[in-house]
Amino acid sequence: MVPVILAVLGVVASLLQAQTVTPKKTTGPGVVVSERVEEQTTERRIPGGSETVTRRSSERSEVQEIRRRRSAELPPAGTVRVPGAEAGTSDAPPVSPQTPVPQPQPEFAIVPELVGLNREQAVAAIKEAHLTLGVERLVASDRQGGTVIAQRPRAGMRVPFDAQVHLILAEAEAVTPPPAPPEEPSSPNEASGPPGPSDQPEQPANPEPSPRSYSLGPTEPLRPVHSPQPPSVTVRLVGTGTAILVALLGGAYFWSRKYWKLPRSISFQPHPDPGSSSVGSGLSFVVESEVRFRCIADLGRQRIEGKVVSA
Amino acid sequence: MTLREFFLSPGQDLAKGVARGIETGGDTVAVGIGGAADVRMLKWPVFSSAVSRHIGELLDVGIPDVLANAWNKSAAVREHLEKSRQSPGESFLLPLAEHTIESEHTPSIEVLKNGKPVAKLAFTARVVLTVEGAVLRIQNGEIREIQTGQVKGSGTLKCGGAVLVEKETQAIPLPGRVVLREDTSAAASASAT
Repeated sequence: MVPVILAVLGVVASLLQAQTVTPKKTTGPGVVVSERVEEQTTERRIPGGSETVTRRSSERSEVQEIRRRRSAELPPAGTVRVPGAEAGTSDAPPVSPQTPVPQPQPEFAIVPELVGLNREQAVAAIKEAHLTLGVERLVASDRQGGTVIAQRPRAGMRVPFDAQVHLILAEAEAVTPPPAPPEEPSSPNEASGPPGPSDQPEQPANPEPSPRSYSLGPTEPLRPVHSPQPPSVTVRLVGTGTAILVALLGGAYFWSRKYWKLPRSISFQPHPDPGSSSVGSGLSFVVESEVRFRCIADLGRQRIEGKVVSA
Repeated sequence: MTLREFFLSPGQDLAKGVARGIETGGDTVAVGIGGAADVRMLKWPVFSSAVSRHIGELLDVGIPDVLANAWNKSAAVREHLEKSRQSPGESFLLPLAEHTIESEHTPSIEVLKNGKPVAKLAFTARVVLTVEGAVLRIQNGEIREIQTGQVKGSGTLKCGGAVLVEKETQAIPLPGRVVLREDTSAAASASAT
């Protein structure tokens, strides 16, 4: 019973670990990497535009989806979605009042080679190829911060028009957000959102969101946290391995105990025939046959020493 | 009183002794008739434990029966039995002198596997009984009762070379009347009246 409980506890611990919110990490200017159980969409205002950060989690890994829309890079979004404000929910695509004039576009696009470029060059190349920027992930690397070290789909693949290209960027060593002057919100929607926590906790009372701050959803505030912990994927793998190890050890313990208990569980039952007895089904299970004992008593041979009858 | 009561006390565990006897006794103790597998089975600890629980059945031999069996072989007692046979229906009391009866028993346990004997374990019980002040009632050429007297005994129960029990008792007073054999003719006449 104990090993079964251990195995179940191991699996439960693994599942709990998989659902634990891992520490968030701010790895570079303008990029926030964090993992959450639920999907959250936040927007942040940066100089010259806004930034929408969408976070999701799946069964095995959580994906941080960072969508950026800068006025300098993308067509003006026009409206800024703020959770709790008027139009749309966080999951709905942003509605642009200034719809760009449709231009003839190819049916499919060729994925450009992005590895080795910095982020700005990669975004420009993606835009040139009539693709959209997908998920960006930051990983520790010896390359310069912001350099694309991997991409998906691979370069040269034919993909549908406007398909997403996911990037893996080299993580910057230090986080030094560039100072920027406060900016008035370009849309009333932007100003309607509650001011969120900042990267600089010593200035939390700033009514105007700083370039490093962003508006938060109604569920839970999202705070960038500097954490030296390793990526959560590694932690989860270790947790799963531990759970499997505990389960295996528990199973081995269970079976070994069961095996060891076999001889002790043998029961002996009396046989109806007087003078003999039988071994119960326990021993029969072990030796695959029925074993009985037949007791043969002996009246013995007697010898008398001395005179028996008195005179 | 039986040899079981003489040798064994309640809850006595003889499994270790039996295992030691099987291990050291070799073929003189445990004979594997079926083959090597049966010999291996005899050496299982669980096997010796099971065997030890049946040793008591081997010793279900009454001590009065042992004594009567010994007296029936005595020439002096047989002479008196012959005299009683000449006078049917008449009882005679025969006082006995102090004497010693040595009795040796070789009970055994047969191991049956699927109904077939595959092994046999031999035991040895040796009892020395000293009888004092016993009086026999004989009738029709048979010993009917043991009246009064006391018995002092010592004995050894072995499995091969391993001693399972070694015991020596103080003088045990015999019950006032130990019936060895019912008087069938008297019982028949009593029931007829």
